[in-house]
Amino acid sequence: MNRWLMIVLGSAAAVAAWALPPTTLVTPERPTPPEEARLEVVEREVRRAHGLLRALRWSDSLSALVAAAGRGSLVLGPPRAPAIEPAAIRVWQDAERRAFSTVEPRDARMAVGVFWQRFDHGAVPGLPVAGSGRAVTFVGERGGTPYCIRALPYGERSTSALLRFETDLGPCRLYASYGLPGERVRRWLEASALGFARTSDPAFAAELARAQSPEPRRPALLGLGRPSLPEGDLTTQACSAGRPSACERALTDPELITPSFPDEAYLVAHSPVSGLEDAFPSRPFGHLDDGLLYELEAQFGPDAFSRFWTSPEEVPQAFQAAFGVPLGAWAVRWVEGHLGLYRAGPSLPWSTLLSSLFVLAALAAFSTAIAQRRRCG
Amino acid sequence: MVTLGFGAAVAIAPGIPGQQLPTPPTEHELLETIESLRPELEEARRLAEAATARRRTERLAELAARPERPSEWVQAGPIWIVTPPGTAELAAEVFADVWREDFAALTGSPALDNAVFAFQWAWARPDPLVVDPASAAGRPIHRVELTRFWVGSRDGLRERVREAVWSTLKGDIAEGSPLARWLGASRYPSGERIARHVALSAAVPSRACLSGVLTGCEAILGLRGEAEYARLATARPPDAPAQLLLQALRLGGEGAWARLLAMQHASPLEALVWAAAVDTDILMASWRSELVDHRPTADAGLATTAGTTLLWALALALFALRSTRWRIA
Repeated sequence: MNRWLMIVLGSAAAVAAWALPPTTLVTPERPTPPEEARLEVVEREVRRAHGLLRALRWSDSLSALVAAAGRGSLVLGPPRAPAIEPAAIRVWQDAERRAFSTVEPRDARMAVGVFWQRFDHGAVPGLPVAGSGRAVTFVGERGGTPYCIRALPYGERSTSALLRFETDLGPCRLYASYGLPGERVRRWLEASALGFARTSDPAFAAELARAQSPEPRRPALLGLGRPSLPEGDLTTQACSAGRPSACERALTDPELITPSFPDEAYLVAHSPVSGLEDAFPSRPFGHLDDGLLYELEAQFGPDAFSRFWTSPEEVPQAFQAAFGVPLGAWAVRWVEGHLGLYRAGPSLPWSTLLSSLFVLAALAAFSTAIAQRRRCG
Repeated sequence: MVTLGFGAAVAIAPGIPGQQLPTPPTEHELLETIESLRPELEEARRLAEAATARRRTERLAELAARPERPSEWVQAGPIWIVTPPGTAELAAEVFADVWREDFAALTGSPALDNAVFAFQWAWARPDPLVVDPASAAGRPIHRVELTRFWVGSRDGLRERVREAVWSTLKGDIAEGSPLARWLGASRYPSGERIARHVALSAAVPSRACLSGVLTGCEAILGLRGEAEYARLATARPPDAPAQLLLQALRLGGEGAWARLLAMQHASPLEALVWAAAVDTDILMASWRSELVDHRPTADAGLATTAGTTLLWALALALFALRSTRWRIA
């Protein structure tokens, strides 16, 4: 008995040593020298003040241009770099004009501007600047003209290829359709939810998401269970497991949708910038939700979307009132459609449990049958 | 240290009813803030640079105080390697393997002929190998200095060496040339990764390429003009250009690299076809067959899980059948 017990315990210890993850690797952290710490603090202050200054200058000059063009106008500002061909600029302008003219419905007051800005335009030479190289959106009202402006950065060495990505007005298409949003919806959008309207082409958003995470999902045993959880924060995981409250939080909590780079979060919170496009979005579903607002519009129709957009209520209430379905419940279906639902929690999937029990019962029956046939002596 | 009231001055508290919002700073105030910070920033930069230089000098002095470590020179193909004596044999073997398996078709690369690779593979983080300037004769030194902790196997070593040789080779291609722009930051390609990317892409050209339409392959490789290049940016596997280039060199054999360099200012497709000395269709078909060869095998994980379960169940059943007190009945 003791020998068997020792064997079982020894085997369990060996399996545990083999299967359990190793202790977390801790690499010794190099203490930051005081000179570097000081430089970091001063640089951060300069970067942020400089980012605000540049945003203020862009916002001022671009909104003046759009306001001068008047209500309901489209103003385009092409890039001027040696490697960008005039033909490519014409193609881009035509595409933007076409996108603007086909906006349906249309708020006749809303003016839209799409400007290519040299990334260092309006900046103080030689100093670091927050939010450099990111596309920004400004939304507001000037001289009685409500406007939405996209400012897209380019550099001296940019090529014509750059223009091909920007042909659908981005989030400004929604403003052109529905005008300025209700106050609380506006706050939500400006806390980075504008990223949910990055593109009106869902295929493009899906392609971006796939490029970001090309790993295939592995189906569970016998295809009956659900795959294991995706990576991400707990709220996203809970949402991916089909919990409506978590999905609602994943789409509305400013802490989850605000840019993860502190400088960019600061810029969004404190400058006239209404939206800052992130190459690696910190929103819970990365690029997958780049067209989420457009998907809503397509699913529920422009009237319902307009009610949501202009609602004075908080986003979840506005959502339910406009679309007749709670935000969390809709988001669960959205996640299910794009990713499939995952299983959360420590329990075994039912399929694994049942098939294991079945195998054990079958083998127990088999061994019992053999043992009963055996006769001693 | 400057303490700025600036951050507080613009702090806005959205959503708190009745609270007076501070006025955002004006352009003039921001400029004043930035200008007042400029001397502080320059001073902080100067001090940080001085501290870095001081630490570097101390480190060099520390290294110089240690007993001199001898080094050996070995050659693999056209590649010169300098390494501590204990790893000379390993270095020669690994570089020779990489050369033979991946770059043997490539001859006459000025960058590679001129380069020296400093190679180390040690348990502890190795100190940079000091290469005698007279021996190196001004040639650029590419460091492949690795610890066994992070790179534990010879396969891992080969991967790093392959990447180092590939980066060196790219030095032959003129910066800003169409070929360099097309290659971008392509690393040494992994056939499996590229195949998986193409297999998972929903883009029409990717599907077409997999089903044998060669113009689809050209499109996802970005060889059909700038418009297509940009439009299909996300469908393009990141290192696929490097894979096609190496394929062209393998097809082209002797002199392919020189031909490629001679045509690097033409369009990438022309340069590749010229280097490979075959028709566009043959080149693309050859790349596509490599792509298809590396397609991931579909594995639902069924065999492993069910197999393990069965093995355990059989083992337990075997114990149960033995004549022990555990036996049933």
